[in-house]
Amino acid sequence: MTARVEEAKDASTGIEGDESIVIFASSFHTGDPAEDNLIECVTKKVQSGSSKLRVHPEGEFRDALFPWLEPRTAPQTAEDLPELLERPGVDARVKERGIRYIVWIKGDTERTSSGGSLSCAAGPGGGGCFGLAWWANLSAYDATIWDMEDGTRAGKVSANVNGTSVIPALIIPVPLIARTQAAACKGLAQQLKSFITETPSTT
Amino acid sequence: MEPYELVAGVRYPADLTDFTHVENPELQAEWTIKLGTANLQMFRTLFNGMFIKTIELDDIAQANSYPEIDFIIEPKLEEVEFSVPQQSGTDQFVVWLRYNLKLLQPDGQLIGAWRITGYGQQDKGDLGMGSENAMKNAAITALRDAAANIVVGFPKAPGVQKYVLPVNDLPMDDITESDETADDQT
Repeated sequence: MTARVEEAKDASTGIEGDESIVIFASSFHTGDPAEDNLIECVTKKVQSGSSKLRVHPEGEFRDALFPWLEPRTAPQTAEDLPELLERPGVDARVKERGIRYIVWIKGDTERTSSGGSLSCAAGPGGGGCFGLAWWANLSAYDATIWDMEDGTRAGKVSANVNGTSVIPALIIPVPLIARTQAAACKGLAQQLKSFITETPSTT
Repeated sequence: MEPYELVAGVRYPADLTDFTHVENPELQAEWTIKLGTANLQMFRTLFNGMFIKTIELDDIAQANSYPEIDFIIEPKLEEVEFSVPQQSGTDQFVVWLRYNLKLLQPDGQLIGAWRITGYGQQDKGDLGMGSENAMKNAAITALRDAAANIVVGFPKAPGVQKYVLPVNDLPMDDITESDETADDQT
């Protein structure tokens, strides 16, 4: 399995102890929203370990700002952010909740290739599987970070993980699974924490 | 969202509050989508937030008993469509909703018929498990999308600027006439 995690910073960052972030899947109108389980995984990992961050529940925040964070109405780029913050009540609701950053995650996990052959048979005397099957997955995710304090884009973090899973079978199949999405989640979460807190990344 | 200084009479017809869509896609399992309760909850929450007061009416004529009513809304769900991953070849469950919101003056005269769509999609999740939940979440997203459409589009809904909103409070550039207004219905 190979992993590449990168960041591009547009502005200096930092977060106070009473401030939070919100993590969303990008709108399907902009294409390629990250899967729910990836969002849940990143949210969980960002809230744990060293340099952990406070994450505000995205559903509550979306409801509080209704209708301005729905897929149809959400700002498409950071350039649209000032317009959102100028809408009646929006800035106050953001400040009430101490939301400092919004993180939009897009991307997916795809099977890029597969091959091999595996066959199983069973009879009165027993059964078994023979052969070898394999497939390769690519998990590619981008997280764009918006700074709600000054209404600008703070930067972007990305994680790309390639991995090949193999199931060799000599009577009993032995699956060797490359969990590319889990690795991308871990890499993205660690990089997000270091990006926001401006501490050196350990990855 | 800041509420409009309006009192809305709202009539929820039975075909909205009892709405059930049953469809059997070719070579797929039959789907039954019950949207009646969700419709009612969505519109109640939405209209209570959009207007300073809403009054639910059993029929349009009942509005005569409430002189404070500025206008009446009667929503109807006209069409539901969906697709499942096996049909679309993607990993998405998708739901489309099409509503027709009839806007009426307190005396029952039609102001305009406002058609609104809602779109929602939801990925099928790990190993495609929980397709009922994915379909449910796609429908909820579509309901929210329709609600967002109503909030954002209300000032430009057919006849609203002419008959519902206080025209003097609007910038002149915003005043346009729509195709389907009371003038066109006569």
